[in-house]
Amino acid sequence: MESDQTPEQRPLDFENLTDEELFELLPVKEKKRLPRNKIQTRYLKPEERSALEELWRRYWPKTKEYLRARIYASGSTLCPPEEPDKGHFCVTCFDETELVFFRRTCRKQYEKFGAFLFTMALNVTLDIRKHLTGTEEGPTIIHDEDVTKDLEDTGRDPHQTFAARQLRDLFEEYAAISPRNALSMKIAYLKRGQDMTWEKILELTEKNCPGKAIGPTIGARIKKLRDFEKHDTKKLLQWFQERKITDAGIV
Amino acid sequence: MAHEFNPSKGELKQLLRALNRGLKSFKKGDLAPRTPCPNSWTLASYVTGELDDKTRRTINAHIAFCDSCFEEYAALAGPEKIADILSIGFTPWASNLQELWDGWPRIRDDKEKCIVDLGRTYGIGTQLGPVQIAAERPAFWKSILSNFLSSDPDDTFRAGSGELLFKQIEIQVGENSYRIELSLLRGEIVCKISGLHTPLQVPLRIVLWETKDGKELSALGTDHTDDFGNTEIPVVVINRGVTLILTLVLRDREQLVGFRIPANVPYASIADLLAEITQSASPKQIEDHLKRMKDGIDALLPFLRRQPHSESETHVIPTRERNKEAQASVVLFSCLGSSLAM
Repeated sequence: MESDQTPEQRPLDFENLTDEELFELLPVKEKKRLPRNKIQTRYLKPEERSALEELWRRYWPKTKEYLRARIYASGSTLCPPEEPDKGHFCVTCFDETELVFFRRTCRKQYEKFGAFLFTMALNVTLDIRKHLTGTEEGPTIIHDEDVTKDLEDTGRDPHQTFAARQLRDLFEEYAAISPRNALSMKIAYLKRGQDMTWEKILELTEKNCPGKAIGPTIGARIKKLRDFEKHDTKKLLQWFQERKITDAGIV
Repeated sequence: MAHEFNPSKGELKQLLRALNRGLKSFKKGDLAPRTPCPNSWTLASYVTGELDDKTRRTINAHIAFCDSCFEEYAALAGPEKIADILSIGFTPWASNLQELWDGWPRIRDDKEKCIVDLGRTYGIGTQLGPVQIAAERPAFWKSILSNFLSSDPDDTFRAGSGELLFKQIEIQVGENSYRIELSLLRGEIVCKISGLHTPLQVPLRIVLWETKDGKELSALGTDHTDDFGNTEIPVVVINRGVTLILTLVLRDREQLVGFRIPANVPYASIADLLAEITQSASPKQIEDHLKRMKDGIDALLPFLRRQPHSESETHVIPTRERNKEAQASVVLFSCLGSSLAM
C-alpha cells in the first residue's frame, strides 16, 4: 500500500524524526496566554499534534521526574500550606503542564528543549501556587516618584533624602550581582538596620528554607547565618570602600 | 581579578559605621521594589538559568527588595539552593583563574576530604565529601590481561581498555550530577565526564590543575562539556606522586575534586606485579599459580571458541572473542588473587 503513495502523502514516522525536524512541524503561533480559569482551546492539525506528542513523549518523563523531586524535596515550599496533599498538588501540576504544553509550544529553534519544558513546568507550578496562596496579582509596586514622595514625607532634609536614594541605588547595584548578594543584603538589613535578633532572622529565613537544610540544630543554623553575615559584610564593606562611601555622616 | 580588601582598623571601623548608619536610616518605602514583579514564566526561567544577563540582574535586584518574589524564588529553587547560598563555601572562587590561584590555600584546607586516592580501594558506594565512588577496579587485572592476551604490546587499549588504575565517581554540581571516570595508563590520565542528571542543560566548565606538595598549583588547562555534561578530556601527561585537581564550574556553582596519583603505581607492569607478589609468596608458589592459571585458560579457550556467534555480531565487534577470553580470565585471576591473599 505504501508504495502507491507519493513521499508527500506517506505518513511521517514521527519516532524517527530528529528534534529539529519535529520543531519544524510545530504550530507557528503560540496560543495567547489567558488566566488559568479561562477555557483555552487551540486548533491543531494532525501533524502538529503528532509532533507535539512525540516531543512530549521524549522529554516529559525526565521533566516530570525533576518536578516531582522539586515538590517532594525535604523542606520544599513549592507546595504551599494551603494544599495539604502534595500528591494532589503534583498531579494538578502535571496535568496543567500537559495542557499548557499543547497550547503554547510553537515553532522556533529550541536550543535545549528539555530546559524549555522544565521551565514551562515550573511556570505552571508557580501559577498554581500563586492561585492557592491568593497572590496572583503580586504586591503593589512602588515607583520612583512614590519613593521620592515617601522620602519627602519622612521629614528628612533634601541632603538626607539624596543620600538615602544614593544608598538605595548602591544596594540595588550590589544585589543585582547574584541571588546570594540579594540574600546577604536582606540579612544585613534585618541585623544592622532593624537590630533583629538572630533567632528572629532565622525564623524569617526558615520560612523559605524550612527543615534541616541549613543545619541540624537551632544553634548550628544560627551559627551558619552569623558566619554568612560576617563573611558577606566584608564584601559589602569592600563595595562601600570601592565607591568611596566612607563618610559615616553621609546619611 | 578581585581587588584586595585590606583596610586598616580605623578604615574598617569607619566603613562599618557608614554601613550601619546607612541601613538604619532607611524608612518605610526606601527598600520597596522599583521594578514590576516578574511573571511566573520569567521567574521560572530565572531559576532554570534561561534568562539573559540584563534580565537576570534585574531580577536579582528585585528579589532583594520584594519579599513575596523572594519567597517564590526560594520555592522554585528549593531549600538546598538556599542552604547552598548561605554556605560560605559557595562563594565562587574560580570565576577566573587568578581567583582560583589566590584562593587555593583556603580550598586546599577546606576540601581535603574530596581527594580521591587512585592507589587506594575504597569500595563502591563510599562517600568522600561530595564524591561517591561509583566503580573502581583493582589495579592490576586489566593490565595483566592485556599483556597476557595481546601479542602486540601496543594493543592494550583494544584488549580491554588497559587501565592500570581506574576510578569512577559521581558528583553533584549545583542541580546537575555527573559521572567522572579517571583512568591512568602508563603515566597518562584519561578523564571522561558524562552527565547523569542534567536538568540545567548548560556546559560544565572544567579547570585542571596539578599540585605536588598541596601548596603550589600549576594549571594544566581548561575544558568544557556539552550541554548534557559529556566530554572526554584529552590525555593529560602527568607526573607521578601529584594530585590532579578538577574544578567543576556550573554557572555560579562550583565543586572541586582531586585525584591523588600514587608515586609508585602498583602493578604498572608484569615485572612490578611479580615484584609485589614475591613479597608475599615464594617463587615456587607463584610459578604454580601461574601454571594453574594458564592451564585453566588453555582449557577454557577451545570451549569458548565453540560458542556460536552470529555473523553480524562478529562483524560489528571483532574483538568479541578476545573479550570473552578476558572475562573468563578475570574469574581465574580472581581465584589467583584470593589464593595469594590467603
